Amino acid sequence: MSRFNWAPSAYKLLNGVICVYKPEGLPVCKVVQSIKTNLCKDLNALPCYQHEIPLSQTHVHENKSYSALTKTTEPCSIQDWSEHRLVLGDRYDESDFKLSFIDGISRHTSGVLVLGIGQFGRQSVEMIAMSKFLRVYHVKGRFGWATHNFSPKGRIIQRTSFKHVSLSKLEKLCSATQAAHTKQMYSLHGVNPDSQEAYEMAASGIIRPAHRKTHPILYGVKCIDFQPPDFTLEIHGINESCQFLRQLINDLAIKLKTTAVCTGIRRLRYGAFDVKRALLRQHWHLDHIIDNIDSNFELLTPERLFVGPEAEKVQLPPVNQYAGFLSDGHRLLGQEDMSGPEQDDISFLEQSNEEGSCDGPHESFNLKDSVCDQKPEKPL
Amino acid sequence: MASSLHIIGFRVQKLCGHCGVTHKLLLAPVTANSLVPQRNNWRKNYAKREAKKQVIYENVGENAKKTSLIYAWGQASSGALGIASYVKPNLKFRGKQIFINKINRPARVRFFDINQMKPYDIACGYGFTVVAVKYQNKRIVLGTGVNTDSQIGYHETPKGSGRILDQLIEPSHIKLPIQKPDDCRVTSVACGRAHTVIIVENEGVFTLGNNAYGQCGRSIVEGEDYSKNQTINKLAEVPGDIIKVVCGQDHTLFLTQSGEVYSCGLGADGQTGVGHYNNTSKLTRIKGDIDGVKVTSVGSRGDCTLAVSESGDLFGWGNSEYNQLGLVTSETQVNLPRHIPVPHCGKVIKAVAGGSSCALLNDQGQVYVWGFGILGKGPKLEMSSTPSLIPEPIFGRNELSPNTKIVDIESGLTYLAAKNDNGDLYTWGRNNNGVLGLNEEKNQFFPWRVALPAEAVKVACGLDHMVALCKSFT
Repeated sequence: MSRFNWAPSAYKLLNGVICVYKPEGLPVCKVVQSIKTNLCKDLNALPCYQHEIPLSQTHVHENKSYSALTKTTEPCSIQDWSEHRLVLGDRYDESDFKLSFIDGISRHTSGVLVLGIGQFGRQSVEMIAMSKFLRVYHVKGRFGWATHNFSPKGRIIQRTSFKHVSLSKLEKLCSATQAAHTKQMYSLHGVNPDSQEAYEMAASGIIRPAHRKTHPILYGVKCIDFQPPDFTLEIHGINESCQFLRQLINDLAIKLKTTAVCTGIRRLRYGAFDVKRALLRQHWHLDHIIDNIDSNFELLTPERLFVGPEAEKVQLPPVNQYAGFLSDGHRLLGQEDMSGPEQDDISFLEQSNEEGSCDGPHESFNLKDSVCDQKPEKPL
Repeated sequence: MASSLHIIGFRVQKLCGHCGVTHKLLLAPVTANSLVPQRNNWRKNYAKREAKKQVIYENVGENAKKTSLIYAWGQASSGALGIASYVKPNLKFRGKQIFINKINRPARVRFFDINQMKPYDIACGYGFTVVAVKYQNKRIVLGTGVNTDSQIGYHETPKGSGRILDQLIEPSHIKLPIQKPDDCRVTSVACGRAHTVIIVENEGVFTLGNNAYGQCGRSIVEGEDYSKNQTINKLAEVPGDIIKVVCGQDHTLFLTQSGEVYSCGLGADGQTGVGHYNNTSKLTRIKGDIDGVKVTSVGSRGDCTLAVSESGDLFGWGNSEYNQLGLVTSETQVNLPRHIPVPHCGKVIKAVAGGSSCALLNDQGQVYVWGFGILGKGPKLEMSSTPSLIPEPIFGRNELSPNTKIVDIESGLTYLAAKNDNGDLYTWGRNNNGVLGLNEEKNQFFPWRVALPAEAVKVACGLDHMVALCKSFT
């Protein structure tokens, strides 16, 4: 049971960044679809029209004439019959939710996925993409097999022996791979290698590539588990793809004079978005998603976002877009109720809702207020 | 009737189950035969797959060990890389193999793999290379490259013809006059500009090549012709426990077990450190500030010499035109070892000196550079008389691998090289003929990793070529 009792007010809060844990075997588009469906279902289950507000919470009208008592079961606040579920149908459908994701992971990969919902969410997601966060993967491999697409389900090409592979050999190779990629990161940054600037950059440690969609760069390759034939590598990288990681497992194995398939990839972290923040599949519902959006607000500060090499060149959007509302008179779909004669009633209802929910197990949910308060405080 | 049906064939588009792309398929002509339902051959496919699973390929032998590999890069036309096909392309592959003057990336020297030799020590001179290998229960020394001063031995082919080679393009056996020619256990080998010094265990110290300044440790003969010279000198009256030899340009330094340093050769800049500027043709013990100090490491490639004591002190003598010894003297030549105070560098474990630049390595794995030229701190720093630290992140130490450190440094005449504990090799300096192996021929102003496909064990720097002794990953 949701803690909301008015759907448009919940809908307004769906504006920010969601961090979900994508299960294996589910494509990203299905994740997006499933979140949309769940949100639709949850919002439509809430009172969407004014006549659906439970009687206990409606605005009590004083009965002035006892003689005019009627037998109607509807609350007396129904004034406009065009605003009725039987007339208009469900208030929300899937096209009301604009979701976008960054750096999607392949179908057979599980792990953290960052999605943006609403106008502010999509803008934030773009900025997250620009800041080129480091991603951490656990990649599992199995020695001895070779398939045409590096996955254990592919067409088998060869079986090889792997008795000679030891942990020390694998670790040596991992460090060599890491060093080779570390070298590449300077060249991909795009500075002239003969300049003093290049030297100072190299001396400062890890630097990020100048552009998205460059060649993948691995910053760390570490073997964290070795039980032949299975092994697990922890890989830190930027601009990598799941197919690249699978191929990396194959290439490492070939250098060890054997072959390997990639049995699983798990993304543990996407910048500051880690597994602890990620919503499991059973929690892809309205209340959890709104909590998640709220907790992710703290990650969208400029200090956290613009860590890239050219962060100072990124233009920040105007302040009034930060709070998640549009200032220029354009209203979101849920806000339509705000217009018209009932406006006062609804604002009154919202207040009463908040007061009522104080008694319940949940704390009073005044995210909207807190967001509005934050608006001027957000530093540029 | 049947023949007319055969002609009918039509194109259809079909979504491919494998790649998800629509292919244009030419369907088989409709005949009476195709009406018979095709047999599903899943059983056959299953059997095929199972058969494939049964065969297990072994890409390594039973008791395979890590192999020693040799990679070389730089000037190839001298033959110093030991890759014959670069200098003399095989006519069999006409058009595919061409003459290669220089190579700017590490190239595998296959000679040792083909002949199943296991290299264990290497040294580079100016245009030649000496490699000590194990070969079929034997231990021998091979040499390749320029041989104008007989620095890699006397090679007459065919025997008795009088055709004596003054350049070798492939490694060839250097025959030393020892008791057991097949058991030549090399303790240390070093090459100078045109001379080679080899220390053989239980046999002694052998010197080959040019002796114009006495660098071979024998008396200078006026007007001696060093080319096509069969002389191999075994040093007489040497202290018995020589463990290491280091060659500068035209001088030789010997380090004993007890930490004493002996020298011979050119002394025009005082690089022999014997107190005068004359050439010495006899091994002389170096005194000065290192008298009574146990020296553990000596480094010299040009005319400046650096030594490090067991307690981590730095000593230097020889040429100081580029302020290599600027901390203790303003003179350009020093003929006696001087203690160089470098308290900010910690405990020094190794120091090397090139032509104009010097580098030291301390026990924390940090590299300090000073002198003149491309020092490795960007194009701005050209000259420094005090050692300055090269930032560690350049050598691969960052948040993700905080324990990486440099374990070895080497110096060429105009460039420097460092190796870290993962076996990564970093080079920087002047890039004549692609000697840095960085796949380009621009000067490199800060350390840059060489793309070696194996783990570097030892690296030797010549004038314009470099050789790395590596170990394979498996």
